[in-house]
Amino acid sequence: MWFGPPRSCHAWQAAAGLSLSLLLGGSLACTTKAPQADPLEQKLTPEQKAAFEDYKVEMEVGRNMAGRLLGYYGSIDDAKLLGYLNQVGSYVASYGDYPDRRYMFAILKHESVNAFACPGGYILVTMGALRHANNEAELAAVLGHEVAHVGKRHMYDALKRMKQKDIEEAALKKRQATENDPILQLRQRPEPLDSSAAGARLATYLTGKAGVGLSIMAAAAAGMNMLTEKGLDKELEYEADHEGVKYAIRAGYEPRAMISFLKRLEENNAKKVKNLEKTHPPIKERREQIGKLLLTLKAEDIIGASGDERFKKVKLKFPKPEAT
Amino acid sequence: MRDRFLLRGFAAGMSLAFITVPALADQFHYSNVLVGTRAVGMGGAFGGIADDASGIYYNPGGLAFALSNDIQGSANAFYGKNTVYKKALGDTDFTEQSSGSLTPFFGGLQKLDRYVDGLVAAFGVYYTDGDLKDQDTPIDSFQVGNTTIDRYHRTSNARASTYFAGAGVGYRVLNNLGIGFGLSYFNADELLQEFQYAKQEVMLPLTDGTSVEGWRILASNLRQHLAVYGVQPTLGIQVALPAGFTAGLTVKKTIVATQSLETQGDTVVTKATDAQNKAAVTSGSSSTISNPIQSTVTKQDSKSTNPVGDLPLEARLGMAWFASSTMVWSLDISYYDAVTNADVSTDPNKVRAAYAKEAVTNYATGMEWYMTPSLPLRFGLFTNNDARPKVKKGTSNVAAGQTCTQSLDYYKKYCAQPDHIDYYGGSLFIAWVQPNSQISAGITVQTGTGKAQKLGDDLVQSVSSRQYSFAFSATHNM
Repeated sequence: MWFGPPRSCHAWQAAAGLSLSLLLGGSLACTTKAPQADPLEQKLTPEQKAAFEDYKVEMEVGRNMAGRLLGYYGSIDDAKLLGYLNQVGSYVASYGDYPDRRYMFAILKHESVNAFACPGGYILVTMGALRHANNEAELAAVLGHEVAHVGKRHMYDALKRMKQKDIEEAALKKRQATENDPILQLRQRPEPLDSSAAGARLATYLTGKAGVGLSIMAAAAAGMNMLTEKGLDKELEYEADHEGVKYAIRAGYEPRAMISFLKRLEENNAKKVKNLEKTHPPIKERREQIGKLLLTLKAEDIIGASGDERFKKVKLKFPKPEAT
Repeated sequence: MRDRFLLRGFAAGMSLAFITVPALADQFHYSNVLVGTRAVGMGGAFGGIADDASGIYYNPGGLAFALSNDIQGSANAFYGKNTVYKKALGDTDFTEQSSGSLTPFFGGLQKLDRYVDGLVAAFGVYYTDGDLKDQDTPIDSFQVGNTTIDRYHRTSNARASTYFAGAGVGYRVLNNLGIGFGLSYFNADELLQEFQYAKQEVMLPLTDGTSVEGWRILASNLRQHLAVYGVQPTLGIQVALPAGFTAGLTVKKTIVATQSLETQGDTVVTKATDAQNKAAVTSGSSSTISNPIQSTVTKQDSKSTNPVGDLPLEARLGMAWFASSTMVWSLDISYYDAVTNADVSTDPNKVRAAYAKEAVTNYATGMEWYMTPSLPLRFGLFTNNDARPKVKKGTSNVAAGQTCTQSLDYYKKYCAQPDHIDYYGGSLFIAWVQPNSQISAGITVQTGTGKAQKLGDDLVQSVSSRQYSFAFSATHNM
């Protein structure tokens, strides 16, 4: 099923468009066309139609979340760097279990080491994570991890499992976490949750989104809490590690790249580790889990590419770090 | 521009004449246009809140309490105004109408915590008044006193705007105290072009004591252009009080750099007989009209370099109560001081400057209520009082107690006091809020009553006026 930008749209254009259009609250620059009424849709079975609607909601939730992240952190608009990131990410994804899905990669202007997989294929990597990578294989493993989150619909399924009340509470928690100023808190208006039937009807009318029992804005707000505060279940993170490593290996990259990426982070960046472990299992455990996987895959027999040379050339042109 | 040059000059009864007086644009009401996204819905009661880009207008001190960067714009998709002067033409009402569209506010706000903790900057472009009139009013055969007017025709075109463009900063000097400063460029520009025509059947007296049927025709052309430029510094302070209350004080003063009012006009009075009488008059022995068509042209060209004088100092006291996360109430009291040094020569009687202003106090209160987290309802009530003096019969200058003069060629006393209309208004807006943005739509209505002297004599007419606007606005939080 195709939801992404036209194939003629370059990856960096898609990513740049993503940044800009999300900031402006619009739709993708390269996908600004509203979903067209597809004659094929008419021929879908009720089950297929339901799945189709579900994917549309997933895209909306993810786009909303990506917009918030880009709005909060800002984006790196270096076209060449974005092109490279999208090239590597799309390449790894094409060796994943969901190659037909469209993934769009963008860079957050922040020096922490993190990456975010929003539903619908919006994957945002911090500049700090790019800097931390030593070679292309490490980057590919990180992107593979996020691609697995999207492909397996970890976040989206978790949101769907949440009850409306939980979603509202999560959104409230997110708000309280970001506002610790009682005077400003007084001025804080409610998070737009569309919890009422009237609101939901209006939102549905205005957005044309039929929905699948999930309020897009509420889900996005709760998803943000999950992304930045609570994190996904530990098991889902391990699964993403495993799948991501597999995708990278299938794509021809060096198998131990994810382990070296995590190990170096653990050794040198206590503060960054703490931030990452807020939403992910302990790095040590992740390394051990990946190590077990590599044993079962007999990874020592696999000769993969590290992509050192190419990555070094790209790294030379990285924007200068900003104080965070 | 609300009060408009009108057909002053239909002298009731004996003669037919136009009186040209300066076009009085509506610098006499200070709440004609409400600016801002939330503020417009709350009746303009925003001095105690002012935490978005419109804070540069309401209270720069409120900027310091902004929650997020935002950019916002609003547009009056359509506005209309209808003012009825009761029985201005004998038993006939006269109606002034105008309509159009306007963009009252566009602005943005940027928090600068990364440079200085608690510092916020904002910019804004906004209109506090605007009008567009294209009115054609032909009226046939009506009675004024004992006189029948065969035809009156007025074509009036006017455009006017009062515009500000500026920037401001707010700084949170204490946890509960914000101060702010703004500086805006100011321009008021008003252009009126008006043609008036009137025809009255009369008996033209001859020297032998007889008379002959004829017409008296008046035609008047007028063009007036008022241009005022200046800057407006604004100081604001806002304090957060216990129990969710806030209070704010804003003081602003427009400093006029240049101003001018240019008037070019001419009035033609023509007396004519019809063809038959013309033949009789020219061939008969009783001919006493050497030329059956007599025209008199009066030019009215003038220029004033001080038409408006100073502009008033404004002090706004704002209060708000953040009762809960879903309910905010606000109250503003705005005071505008008097202007006494406007050019008196802009008045036909030369007794009261056309743009002189009395002190005015306006009140506004508003409420924002989130019916659901995504659907806030905003409503407000406000006054929009007139800075011109109340119209009083028998005087040409109420403040100075001067009686009407008879210096002009009318059989009745010529008073020509400006209109006085006090408005009460209400606003009702609903918004749809998304996580990073909101759009809102609603209506603002003002209704006013007052008195006028549209004929320039010592008759006084009742006036009722209503103005309304449908507005849209959008805010994007960044």
